[in-house]
Amino acid sequence: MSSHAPSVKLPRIPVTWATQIGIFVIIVLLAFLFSRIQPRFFSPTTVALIFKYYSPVAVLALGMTFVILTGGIDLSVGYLMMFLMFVMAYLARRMGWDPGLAMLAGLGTAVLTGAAVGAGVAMARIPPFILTLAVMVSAYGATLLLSNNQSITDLPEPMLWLGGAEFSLGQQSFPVMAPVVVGLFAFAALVLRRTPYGRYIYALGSNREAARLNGIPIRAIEISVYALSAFCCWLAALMQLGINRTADPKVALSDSLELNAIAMVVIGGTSLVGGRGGVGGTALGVVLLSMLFNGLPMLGGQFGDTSWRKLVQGGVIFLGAAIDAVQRKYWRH
Amino acid sequence: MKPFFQPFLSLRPSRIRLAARTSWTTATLALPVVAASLLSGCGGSSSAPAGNVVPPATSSTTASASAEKVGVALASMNHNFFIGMRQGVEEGLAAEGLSGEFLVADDSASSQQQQVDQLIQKGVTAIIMVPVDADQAVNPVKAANSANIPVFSIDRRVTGQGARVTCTVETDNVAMGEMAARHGLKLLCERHGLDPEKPEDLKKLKTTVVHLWGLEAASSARDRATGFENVFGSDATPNVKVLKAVGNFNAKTSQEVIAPLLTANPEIELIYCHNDDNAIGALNAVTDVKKGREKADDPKRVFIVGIDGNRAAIEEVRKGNIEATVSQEPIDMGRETVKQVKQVLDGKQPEQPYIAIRHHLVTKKEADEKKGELWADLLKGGN
Repeated sequence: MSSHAPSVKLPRIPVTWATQIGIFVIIVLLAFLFSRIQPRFFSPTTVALIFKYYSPVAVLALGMTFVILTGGIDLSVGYLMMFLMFVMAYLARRMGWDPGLAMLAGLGTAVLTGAAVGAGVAMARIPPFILTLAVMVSAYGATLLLSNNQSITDLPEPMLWLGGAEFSLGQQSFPVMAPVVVGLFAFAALVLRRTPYGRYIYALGSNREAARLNGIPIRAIEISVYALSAFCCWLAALMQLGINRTADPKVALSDSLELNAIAMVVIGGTSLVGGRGGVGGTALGVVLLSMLFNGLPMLGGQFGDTSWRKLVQGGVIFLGAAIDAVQRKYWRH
Repeated sequence: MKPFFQPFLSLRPSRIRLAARTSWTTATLALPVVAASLLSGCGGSSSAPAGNVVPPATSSTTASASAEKVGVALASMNHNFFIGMRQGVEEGLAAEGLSGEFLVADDSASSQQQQVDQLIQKGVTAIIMVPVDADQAVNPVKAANSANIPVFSIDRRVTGQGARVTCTVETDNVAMGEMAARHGLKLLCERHGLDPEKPEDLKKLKTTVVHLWGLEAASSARDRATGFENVFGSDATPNVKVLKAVGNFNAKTSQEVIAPLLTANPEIELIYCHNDDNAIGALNAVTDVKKGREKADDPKRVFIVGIDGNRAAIEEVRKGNIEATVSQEPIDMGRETVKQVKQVLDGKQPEQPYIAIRHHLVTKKEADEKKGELWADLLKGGN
């Protein structure tokens, strides 16, 4: 045999998609498994419920994707979301503000907080995990201060619209959040793929120094992604208000929302060190995790317990991190 | 702007990997911190160490200069119930002309021990304590005993060798659970045309019921589960299928767990909740799955019963959305404890070593009749 014989050509799957395809296969397998055990798993009601309950965390994961793509992390999202819920509820119910004005104030608080965090990371070079950890804990403290640890109920209708409004499709009604979230993900994918801003984010995450030397405004970009993440917290806060119909000071304590968001991003193939991944993978992560969370109680027995929820949460993060490590070691691109 | 980016594309992979390695160390460092923060975050702690001094409300600082100071070591302020209890203690102290020093342990038994030590060193004349943990409270109580400071316990008994608690003011969680479960059983029997008093009728009752737990580790949840099992069980009600769910005393978690359960088991007729946060979550889930709360006499309506008598739940009871809740009296518990403190400080004995504060069923009828008298209505702050 000649040493020049052409080697066998395998169909080349782009490496960046390998994880996503794997996760997609897992989703299909799991859906099949669930529906075999519980025939009612595949119903329009289930789809509507998943969109209703997991839209806020999906939006948090969307913001988180941008932050992680730059090589940062935002641990504050869950508690910041809860704090923003109370900023809006407090202003509207206790201070008698116009609901629209209260919502705008919430938006302002969110963007300012996010920009401040971004400035701390970009200018002062504070490690983002410690800075956002500080924000996370203070956001909880501020929530307790505003709420006196009690729910705020009887919120004005405009505030509940995003999370509560529904539209009908045949027999089944779906939350308005469903098209909103799908649209947001599509828009974010466009921004990341097709605009200079999106490419700068990848550049910054791949190699900060090289990006700077190439004249990319890294500080502005870093500030903007944290502000964007905080903006997503605000959107999620509006959604959560509508879902629970009240501002509840225990929302963020229930399920470590920041962990769920990170899990959705990481399992979707976005690298924790930045520069690789995207919102498409995050969307798959959202589907996987919300399907598991919604499906486990349907199986009945102990699967509905917190223990299984936590095992799934931890398992997904571990799997995502492991895939990420393998990719970094063996697949150069 | 595009030209800036173009040169970057020609970077060799090796440079990218170099950068990747440096930030990887950051990520590795981050993980334990995240884990630690989440662990403490789950307990609802606001990362407060021992010295978490909370000044008493203005009402209780009106005592005269010679007033005796009472130390109050609270377990947490995580539930309306504890907020009500604190309000009761504050009102009691003001009424008896005593002043108080409040410390909150954020559900950590070790920081509660330090806080009790602090109170002893400050020379308080009595200690009111909501023990974080019945077993681990033995040491701080012993410390107070050896300093000759009487200890009064609210809500939880301190059980252990050599720890002397002068008086314990409590509510019976088993009885409360039983009361809520019995009301649920009564509603089911009425719908099925059976008599809840007749054992043979109960054996005929065929339905599906959800037992929505609070935190599985909490003694209150375990006691309320016992109360439920005293009413629903394979002996008394063999044809009732009981589905277990865990809501962690949290509305959001309860909502997310109950909704899929309802989708999978549309025949569910009753949701028994360990507390009112669970009940609110269950109500939201029922509304989400069944699309609107049916009329009270609808034969397909899912009954919901809760425990505690929180303000949010009482409002829903008044609106007819939750069938009933069993109300505790946390404000009364606080006041009653201070009354016993005063008695002991005056050199008398407490009325009884264990004082049970009443609990009572609140349906729409009671909620409307007793408007303004329920602790949910008396609680300060909030809405």
